[in-house]
Amino acid sequence: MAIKKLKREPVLFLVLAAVLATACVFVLWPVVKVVSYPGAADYLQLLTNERWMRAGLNSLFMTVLSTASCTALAFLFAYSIVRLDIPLKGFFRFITLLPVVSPPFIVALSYILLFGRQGLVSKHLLHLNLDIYGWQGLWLVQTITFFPYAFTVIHGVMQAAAAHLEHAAHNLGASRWQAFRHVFLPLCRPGIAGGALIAAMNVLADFGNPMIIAGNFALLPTEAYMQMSGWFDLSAASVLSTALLVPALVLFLVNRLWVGKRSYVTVTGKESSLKAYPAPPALKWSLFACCLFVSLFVLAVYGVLVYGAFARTWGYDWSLTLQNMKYVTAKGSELWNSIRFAAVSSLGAVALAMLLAYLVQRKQVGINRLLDVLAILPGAVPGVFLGLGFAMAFNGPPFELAGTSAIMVLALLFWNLPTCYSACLAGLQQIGRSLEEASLNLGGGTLRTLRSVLLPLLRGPILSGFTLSFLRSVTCLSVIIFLYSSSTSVGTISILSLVQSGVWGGASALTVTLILIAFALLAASRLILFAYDRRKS
Amino acid sequence: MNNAAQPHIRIDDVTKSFGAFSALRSVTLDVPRGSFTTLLGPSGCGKTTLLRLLAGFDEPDSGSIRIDGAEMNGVPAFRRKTPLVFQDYALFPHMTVQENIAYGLKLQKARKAETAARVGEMMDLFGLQGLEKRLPKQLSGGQQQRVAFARALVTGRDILLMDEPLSNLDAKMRVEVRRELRELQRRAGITAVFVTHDQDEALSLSDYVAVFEKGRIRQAGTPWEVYYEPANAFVADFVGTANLLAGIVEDVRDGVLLVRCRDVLLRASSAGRTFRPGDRATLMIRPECLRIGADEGDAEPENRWMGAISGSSFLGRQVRYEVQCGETTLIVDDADPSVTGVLDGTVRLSCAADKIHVLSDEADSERKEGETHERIRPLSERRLG
Repeated sequence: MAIKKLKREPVLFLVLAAVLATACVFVLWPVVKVVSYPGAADYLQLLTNERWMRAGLNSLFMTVLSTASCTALAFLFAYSIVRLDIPLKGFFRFITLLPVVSPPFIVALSYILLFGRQGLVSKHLLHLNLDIYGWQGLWLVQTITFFPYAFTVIHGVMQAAAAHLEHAAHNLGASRWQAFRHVFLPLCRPGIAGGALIAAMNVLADFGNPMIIAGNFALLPTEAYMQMSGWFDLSAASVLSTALLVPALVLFLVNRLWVGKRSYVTVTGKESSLKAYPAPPALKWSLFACCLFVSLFVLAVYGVLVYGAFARTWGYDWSLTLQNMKYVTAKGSELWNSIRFAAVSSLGAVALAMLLAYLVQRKQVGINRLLDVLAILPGAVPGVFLGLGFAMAFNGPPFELAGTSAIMVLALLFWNLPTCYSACLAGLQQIGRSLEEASLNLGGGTLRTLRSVLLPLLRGPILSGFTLSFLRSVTCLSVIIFLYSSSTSVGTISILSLVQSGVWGGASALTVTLILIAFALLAASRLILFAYDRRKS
Repeated sequence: MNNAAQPHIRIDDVTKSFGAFSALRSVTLDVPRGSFTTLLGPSGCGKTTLLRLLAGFDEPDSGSIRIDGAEMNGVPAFRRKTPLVFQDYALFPHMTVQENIAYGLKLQKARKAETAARVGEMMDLFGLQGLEKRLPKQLSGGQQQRVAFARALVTGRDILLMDEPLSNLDAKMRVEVRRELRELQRRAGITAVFVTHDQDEALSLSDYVAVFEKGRIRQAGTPWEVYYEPANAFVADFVGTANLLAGIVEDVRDGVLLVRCRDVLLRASSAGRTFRPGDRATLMIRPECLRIGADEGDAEPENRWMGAISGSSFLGRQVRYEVQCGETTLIVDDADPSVTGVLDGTVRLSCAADKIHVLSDEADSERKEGETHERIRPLSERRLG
């Protein structure tokens, strides 16, 4: 039946074939290339090579540890914001947004500025000489960096868990603690599981933070990069990346298949406006204090970076200067590359995501499931793996792209595809089919309908998909570290090399510039949406 | 404790605001032991707020609530022993039917055997056998409702609070459940407090009805009283359909008032209240108390109108007419249309003096502004119909 339909609509068939071919070449082919490169003997080395084994165990250790702390912190924030009657809720929400729109290694960098050998707190205030490189520091940094991802999920589920169920429990004689344990916690369990999985995926794939502060504590992503950059050992890098891919895929699948279905969210109109039963003041204010402490720490992270950007010599001379700006001008072409690649790849990602979402949601083409999987699969692949995959797959005929701008753009495009695809799909799902049918009914053709009905309505999701994609691209390190050449290097790479040579001032200045660029875009997109909304009303 | 003379629940001068919104203004109400008492009113009138205060989810701003004579202010919800059936049932979605029902007993640390026996009893009582292992979302609306009742009743408390528990059922089922509910409450001897905005439900279920408007109780009494002897225009209009006629008292003789309402002179019973000529009075006549007939023929001698039918709708068991009598439009229900057929043209209306009710709030001029002191007297002290 699907085939017949395709014969009737040749344009659709051609588009479908093109999309499918593109997805196979740029999503499946790099994965296959990496996984199939090493032989069985190479894979066996995972068990025998002590260094690799330790990297694997370390990754596992960090994932468990940081995921646990991320989830706990996210739960604490979500609970305080959703269920407690406390001040500064808006501020706490803002704090949970900050790390999401920042470069992945920003917390690590601040951490060094605060607690490192030349650190503001460690050296200047406490006169200590600390060795902060290692798993403890990484743990703290990853917790701060990734708890917002878990927060988003847990917060969503918690808000949906109606307070009147707890009222019902109290009514039957349950104390606050009993209602929390018997009713609230079980209802939040899917959210906690979902949040933990999102955090775990991010911690597992984290490259920026361990690069900067893990020191000799080797993890799978950093070890894979070491093997590649230090020894040009493609086989070893592939083995380590694959070892990273497998758990990442498992986490991804568990999240999609299991957590998605175990939701108790019930939509009830009237009762949801009920306030939660008030918590005891002692509990309320101690949770508030915890949130405040973490929030102030996050603020300190950003504050110290700005200070670092304008301090003469970090650790010795705290006076203010503009001399660090010379690094920004010196790295102008890299910053320009960052913006250029991010803009082009985000445009491409949005266009492709829109097309995919439209095909999956609106057209019965027989392979909707397959297209859906191809569109979200890059989301399961750790950045390091994707970068390595592109480096290996497009290193020779028929795709000779190594060292070009094209490979940077393509890698970022497909890395961001799931983000944009989810936004577009959700947007499409909210638009009733009848709107399109009305347009068709009035005589508008398919293309006309797409242009004059769907696209204007999807302006919000498209813009937010583009913005998020741009932010991710500008701040991306893991994907492109395998792909850049001297002419296509970007801002994040420059920052990493400045950090590695201990040029804190320059690194801070560049980071602040990068954040400013990101926030400028964020503000611009908000303004555009705002202006558009106002024009409509 | 179980002193029959003492009201089971005593609500004394309770006030509650949410921000600038006054949900309850100086509400006083006694709920007799073993009674079925309904809080009736339009949405936003404060009836659910009062129920939530009884359950302890909120605390009153002032005034007190006593249950069995014990002060409830400051007692947390989980120590109150006032099981509530929520409007949308609030079944725990992650617990099975059995776990939902057993939850209250589990909190009381009841022994396993006892819990099983009591839960089994409830499952039998509510016809839920075979559904033990189902989750709430696998049940129909009616089944969910029965689980909610079972969960509230399993602990054997002598109070049951209900927040519009029948509103999610279809019309036919609602009528059926009403009877079962009343039966159950009588048999178990529970004091029931029931919230609804449906006047039919309130009249058919209750021993007592408290009618709310804008956070005040406008009248509390038996269904008969609030229907036939409403205290004010709001109650008259909210509980059923009412013809309200404003007039001036012309004369009083032997407990019968002579009231001029525009162009007609009506005789009405003063129902023991004092009126003087020249007093204002509002009369209330239920549509079914008016008799309607063709132009000629003798009807009640006391009160008569001539009028022209300006509208009629045939409702099966009755015909509802709108009759234009001078400047007044009266609504008249003819309960036996098969005798006369649907009438048209000029008609004669009549009504016995004792079927015309004088609204008391307007009559009692010494009444303090805003006073809503409502003590329900035991049924035995009242005249019923």
